[in-house]
Amino acid sequence: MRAFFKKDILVFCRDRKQVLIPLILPLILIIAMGFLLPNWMGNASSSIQVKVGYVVKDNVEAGLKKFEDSLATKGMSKDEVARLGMIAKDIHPTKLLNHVLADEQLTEMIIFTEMDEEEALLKLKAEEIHAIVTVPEGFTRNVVDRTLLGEGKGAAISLVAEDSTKEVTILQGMIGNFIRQLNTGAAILNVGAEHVKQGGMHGESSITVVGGMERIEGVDTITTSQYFTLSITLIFTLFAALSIASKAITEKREQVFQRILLSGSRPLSYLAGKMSSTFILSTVQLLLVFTVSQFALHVFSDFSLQFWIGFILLTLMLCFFIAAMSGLFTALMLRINADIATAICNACILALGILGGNFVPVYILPDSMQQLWEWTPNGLWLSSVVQWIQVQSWTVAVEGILGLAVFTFVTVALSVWIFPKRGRI
Amino acid sequence: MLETVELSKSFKGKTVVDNVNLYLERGESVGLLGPNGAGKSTTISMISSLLVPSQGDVRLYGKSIVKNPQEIRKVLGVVPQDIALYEELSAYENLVFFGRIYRLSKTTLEHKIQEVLEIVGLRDRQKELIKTYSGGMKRRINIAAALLHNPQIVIMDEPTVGIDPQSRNHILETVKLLNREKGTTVLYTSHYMEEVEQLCNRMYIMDHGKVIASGTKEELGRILSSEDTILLQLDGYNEAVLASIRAIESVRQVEETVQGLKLIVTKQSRVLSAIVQCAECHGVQVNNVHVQTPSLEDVFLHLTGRTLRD
Repeated sequence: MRAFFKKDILVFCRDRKQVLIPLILPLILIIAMGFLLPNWMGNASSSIQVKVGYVVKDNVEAGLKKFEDSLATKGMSKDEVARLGMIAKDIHPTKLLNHVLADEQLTEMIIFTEMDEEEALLKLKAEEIHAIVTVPEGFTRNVVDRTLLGEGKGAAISLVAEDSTKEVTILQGMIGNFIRQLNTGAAILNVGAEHVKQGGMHGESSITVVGGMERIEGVDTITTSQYFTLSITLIFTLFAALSIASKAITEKREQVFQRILLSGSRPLSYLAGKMSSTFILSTVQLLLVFTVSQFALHVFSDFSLQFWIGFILLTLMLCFFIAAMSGLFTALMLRINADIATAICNACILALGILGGNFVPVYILPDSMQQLWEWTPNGLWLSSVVQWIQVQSWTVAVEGILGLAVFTFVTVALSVWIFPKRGRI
Repeated sequence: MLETVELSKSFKGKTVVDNVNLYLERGESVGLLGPNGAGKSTTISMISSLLVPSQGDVRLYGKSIVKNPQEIRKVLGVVPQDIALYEELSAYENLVFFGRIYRLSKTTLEHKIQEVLEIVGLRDRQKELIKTYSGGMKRRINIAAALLHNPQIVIMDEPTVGIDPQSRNHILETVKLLNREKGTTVLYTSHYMEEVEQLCNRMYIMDHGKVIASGTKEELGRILSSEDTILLQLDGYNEAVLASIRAIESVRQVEETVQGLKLIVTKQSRVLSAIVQCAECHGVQVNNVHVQTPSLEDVFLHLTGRTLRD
């Protein structure tokens, strides 16, 4: 197999046109799209827009009043009551939440409309909104009780949605993050309060304003530049796999393949050579384009090492699948008429490209087509990487890798099955 | 050493090789002649185990290779009709690849590469890419690639098609060297009669999938021992002239060639005067007449009614 692998790599690399097209064209397209679509590069929100009903049942003034009244019943001095009352006003959790929701970048992605509960439920049923965020009654009181006195169970913001979509997951993550920030602030203040009791430092509100999606840990959005970098490069790699497989036509036509068979080499070694060389070439191609996109265009900036590990693992699995596809194309080209085989392979890539969201973002496709997204190997990879960028959950990565492994296994089995037996070439 | 027994092959109901029986003795050089579409390449493909016969058998030292193709693949070198090489690789890289798939060790391979390059006379140009070679040079490397594993039998499928005279001579000399000095058994297919006459001890003539004649040059020549060939150059002629000549009793066949009309006539039939008279009757002047002993080309014409290059 090594001889086949080496030969295929050499033959591919000697063809400058074949080497340069899949490397340079995706980059040109990524840059061109940047000019064609304003705010495309680095715009973190254009691919997702979610409408949310915002129901506030909490009465801030009443909550703060009740808090101060409860302090008086605890036998605190007037000064102490006044000081804690001031801190409670500073905390003002609803104001903090409003501030988060009013963030400029966030409002591009999520449109919050304040409404009462009944209206929100009706709109949710009518699918006019995607979710309802409810600030419950007594929210302020519960938060300040928990924050300043360490009493009660704190407060919860409720999120109701009909479907567990990606957008809802993002929203859930954001609210979760807000609550975590609030709790962190509460913990700091509690420590501060202890210090106050012990005559130490003054307990001032240190809850920082949570704003900007980049700062929301665990939840990011895919930018259109990232999406197109992934999708365009992938489709070019699929076409590169086809061009490697197309060499089989020349090998068959010019009887090189027959000469290979006469050497006593197992035909499957030939197929394995094609697959392994495609694996290496597609890996190099994908990683090279992604690396250039990263360093020259800053498409994947501010990502952690964990992100890159997961991304590379998913991409390597994709390359295994592309290698298997190359094997399938090769088998097909040796089995049937070369022109028909080429037409079938091209049609197959185009169909995969359309269904897998390689030509246009899958979000703009009809629902029926969106449902097919993850049923295509390229769509599965794209979807897994998109989710990996958003939530970086290993469950997502492992599911993606396993799914691609299944696609790869089936494709390899199909290639071996289609590969012509002796005397049928 | 190698024989085919009633070998047949059909594609979609059409028989392209029909009950072919042929044999090769060790160290022999055998020609397989026939025009395009005669079934030579299909026969070769079955002998070399690339195609499974529809009927019949191929035997190597008496053992069938149809079910056990590995046996023949070890001892067989095939020079395909096409340039079965990678154009993007150099001659050396091509030979390294083909040597490796024959599992030759690194040292043996290096030695064999230089040896076969020496045989085909391209040792000094081994590092150049195949796509930069002339047609003749490509064909020489095509031969070299088939010799790397020291095959006992070499099958050459029209190795001199479309090349310059110098390369053609080189290839013919290579075949002679392989057969006469190295003792390699050669099955040489061609539609160039003179090549087969020059290289082969025996030959088979195929047409429409069948072997229509076989034997040594002399044996085949005897097929036409009762006939003479007349080459007639006329100062223009038409269908009426041809019809009149064909009507002469002793004229067996009339073929239009670039040199003139080729007539196969009954030996010593004193037909020449009748032919000249016939031409004069139509007002056509006879420029030249040449009577010759029949060649293998004439044998082929006699047997098939067409020339090898048809």
